[in-house]
Amino acid sequence: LDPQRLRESFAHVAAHGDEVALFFYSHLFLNHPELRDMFPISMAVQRDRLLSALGHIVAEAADTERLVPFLQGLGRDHRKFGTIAAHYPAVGDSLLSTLAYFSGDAWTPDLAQEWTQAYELIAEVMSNAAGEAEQDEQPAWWDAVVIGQERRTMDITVLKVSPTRPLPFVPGQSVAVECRMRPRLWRYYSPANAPREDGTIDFHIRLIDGGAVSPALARLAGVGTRLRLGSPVGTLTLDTTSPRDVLLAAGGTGLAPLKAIAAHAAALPNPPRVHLVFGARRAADLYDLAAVEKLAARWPWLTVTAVTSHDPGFDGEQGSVADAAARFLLRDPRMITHYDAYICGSPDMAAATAGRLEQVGLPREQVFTEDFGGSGE
Amino acid sequence: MYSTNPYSPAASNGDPMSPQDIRGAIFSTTRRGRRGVDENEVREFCDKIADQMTQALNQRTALEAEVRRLRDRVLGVRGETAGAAPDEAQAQAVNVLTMAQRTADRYVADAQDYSRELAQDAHLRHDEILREAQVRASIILDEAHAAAQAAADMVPASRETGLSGDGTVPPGSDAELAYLRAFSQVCRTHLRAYLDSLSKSIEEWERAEQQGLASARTSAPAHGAPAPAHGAPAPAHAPAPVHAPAPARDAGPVGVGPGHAARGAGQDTSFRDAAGPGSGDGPMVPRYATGPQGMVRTGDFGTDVGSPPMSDG
Repeated sequence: LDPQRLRESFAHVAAHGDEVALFFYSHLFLNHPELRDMFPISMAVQRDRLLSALGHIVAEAADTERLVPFLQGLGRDHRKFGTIAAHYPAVGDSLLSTLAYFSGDAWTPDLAQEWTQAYELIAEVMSNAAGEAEQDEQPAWWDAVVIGQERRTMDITVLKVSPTRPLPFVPGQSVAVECRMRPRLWRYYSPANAPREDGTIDFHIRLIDGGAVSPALARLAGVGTRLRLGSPVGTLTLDTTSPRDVLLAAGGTGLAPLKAIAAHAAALPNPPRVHLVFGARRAADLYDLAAVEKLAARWPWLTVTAVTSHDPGFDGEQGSVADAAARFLLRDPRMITHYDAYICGSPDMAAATAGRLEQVGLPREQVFTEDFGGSGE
Repeated sequence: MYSTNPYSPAASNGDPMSPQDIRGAIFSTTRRGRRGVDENEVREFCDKIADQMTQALNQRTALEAEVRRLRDRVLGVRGETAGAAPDEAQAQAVNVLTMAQRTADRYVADAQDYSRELAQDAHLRHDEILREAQVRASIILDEAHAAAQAAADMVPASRETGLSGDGTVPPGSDAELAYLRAFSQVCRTHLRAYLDSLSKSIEEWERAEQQGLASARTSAPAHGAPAPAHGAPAPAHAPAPVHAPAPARDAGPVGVGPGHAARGAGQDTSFRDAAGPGSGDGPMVPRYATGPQGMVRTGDFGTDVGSPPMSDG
């Protein structure tokens, strides 16, 4: 295999943008109409995903150490869509036809051979990983039912769900959620708790205006609504080996994974000191402040600062989460490097906060963030 | 090949025969003492078969040529009209499907954009209403304090429990009584005015809804009724018969808004719920803490300071 050649060929094809994925899916569905039902009505998001996944694979083609785990995860993850081994050749045919169509004269038998081999490798790694997961009896997805629904603000709802089988996860991870009202659309949400005895999970749902899934989850889901949950993913989890204290910086529903991390700390024999900065535009949007303050009352090692950016009447701190987090660290400049910071919120908030904390002297490798805030809409 | 070796029926191995094979077939002679067939008859018979076979083969060749000719003609016609080879036909089908998908995507995206605009507009108005309410509340409060202070000042200073040196009203005094009475009087007046305006809003809402329903009946239901909040008729409003208990799903204590009624059956109404069209959290009546030092807690609509029904941990 010649990664360089694949990269160049893909760059040439990808220059056609959305057309490429459009062609690919049309080709696939024409030849295998039965596969259409596995996808949502609107394919716009799906196409972006296909292209970015392909781009990622091609970019990492030379680095098998990183590519293989990525493909294995992709293979396991695709089980929740109902993907089986027999689908791989169908996808391969359409992929090859797509590449041929957009390559034009550059498409030679030699290049076709190269791509065929590359795809066979990819398919093998993915379907093997899926097969192994099957053998280990890992569920392709978890069925779950909503057992509690609480509207905290106009656009934030807390759902308590109960999976029919135990769903093991590490606090801070997220799971993909699909609901009956919006079939085949999966969105990532973080459990806002550490795994419980009864297996129940809290999700903090923010309604995104014009979104496809979050309005359904925030407004239509109620007790009894059935959901499907994918396997847990994500690396924003508590480093339990770190000797340092912990600063959690949450913007809006970015609180969910950080609340779970605090609960994780509570389960340690020797919890680190944890300070949570919880910010929102207005006091009314601090939808879970009462609950985290109750936790702080129970756990002496946990302290909480609430901050609003657009509510002069609020009697807590004023400003952004970045402001409040930096103020917290700066109250004792000698101790800044004694913290690990975990950040979750909107992409803008996460970037601003990470930047600010580094600026006041927190080493970059002690700042943890993950750039999906639980929506993707 | 048969032409090089004479055909022997006894040694026939199942290969297809040609007419030549039949004509030139050599039958082994019978051993003496056993009866054989007349060689001439056999020969004659074989000739007849060979003739018919020749005819059949010629016919087949002609038919094959005819099929080829027709097939070429059909393909030729298709090629002339569409100018496409089979491969290109596939590409065209792909393009047709692509166009259909793109149209579907656009419809979905347009609908999402539309709902996004509506929601953002609603958010802005929500903010505006809240801001106005806060301003109005602080004006009312200032007014009430001023009136109360004036009333307290009117209390004869001859009584030993008059105003203290710093001008505030000392607790338990006649002045304080006068203060509180005036304060509550102003608040009551404003509250009554506020309730009046609220019930006017509700009437307007109902009127708009009825108009909406009427127009929806006569015209296509493109955008639904121009009802204020969610545009959906609210079955929860329909007066329930006195003796028939309402079904559980509509019976929540706060089931007054369309947002509530629009949700599905089986709701757990013990959870705090959306109430009205204006705020997500109960009636928008500010909470007054009475007393001279009373404050309007404007910041805490929506923050649930009670115990949340969900436990944590």
